[in-house]
Amino acid sequence: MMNENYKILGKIIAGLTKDHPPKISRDFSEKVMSRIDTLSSSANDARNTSSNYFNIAASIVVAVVTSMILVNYNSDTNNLVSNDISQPERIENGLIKKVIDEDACSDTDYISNEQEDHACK
Amino acid sequence: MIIEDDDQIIESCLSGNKDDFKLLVDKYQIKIINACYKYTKNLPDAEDVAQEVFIKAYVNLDSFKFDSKFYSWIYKIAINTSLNYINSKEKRQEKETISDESCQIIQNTSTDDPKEYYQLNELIKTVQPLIEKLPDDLKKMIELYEIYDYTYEEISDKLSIPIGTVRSRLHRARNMLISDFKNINDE
Repeated sequence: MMNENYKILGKIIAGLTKDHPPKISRDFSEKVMSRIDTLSSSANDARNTSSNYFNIAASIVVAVVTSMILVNYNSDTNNLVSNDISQPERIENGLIKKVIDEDACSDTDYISNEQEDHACK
Repeated sequence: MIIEDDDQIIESCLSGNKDDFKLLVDKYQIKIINACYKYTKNLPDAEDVAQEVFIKAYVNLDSFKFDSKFYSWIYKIAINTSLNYINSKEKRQEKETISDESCQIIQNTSTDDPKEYYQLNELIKTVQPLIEKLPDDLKKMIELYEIYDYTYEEISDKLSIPIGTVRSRLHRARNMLISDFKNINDE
């Protein structure tokens, strides 16, 4: 009903300005709106497609970054382990071993003489 | 009966109500088709070009400056699109020679079926008496706004009345014309 008023107003304006063709298609505005609908839906499809591509790209970036973080974390952990392993090798150093042995014997003040003999043997 | 201003309809379209654009198409279709018809010289082509005009207007609606009237803006689009149509048609004609027979076929396919077309031959005779019936202040308003293409501000300055009065008088004048037009068609 409201659209009909605008059509009538269009006719009145065209009649007043004496500015009109001999006839026009009845479904002209419907054809225009149908083309606009098609245009809008294809624009939405393109937007959705680009949005999907963006989501996929973002997922790949997140996956790659996560993998790199995990790889770096593992290599850091391996470095810590290798440090731990290297320490006992130093313990094999004769001087340190001697100190450790001496410490063990110095504790004998707190145990019985028999036990002390056992330990130091 | 609510007839909104073009600016309000455009703002509504820009805020996402694309169906409101149909109101502008309904309102200006006859004048835009006629603007194109002056260049194309045949009605089917004029309607095709006019479709392009409205689609261009819709796509570029966000570039519309509200300091001019919508019709002035879309009329410029219509002239440019029609000129492009003529240029491309001339290029086509350079490539292919259209025989008299094919032109005859095109003319024969056009129909005067009243189911498909609004006949506008009697439009001036129908509308002119309606404006004569309007009170002088409303008649003046319609003449300035619709025929001489003044803006609200220009009418306000010219007649030394507030813009609100210009709007309300135009609103009343349009409503009276529409209801009178309906009455004539019902008879």
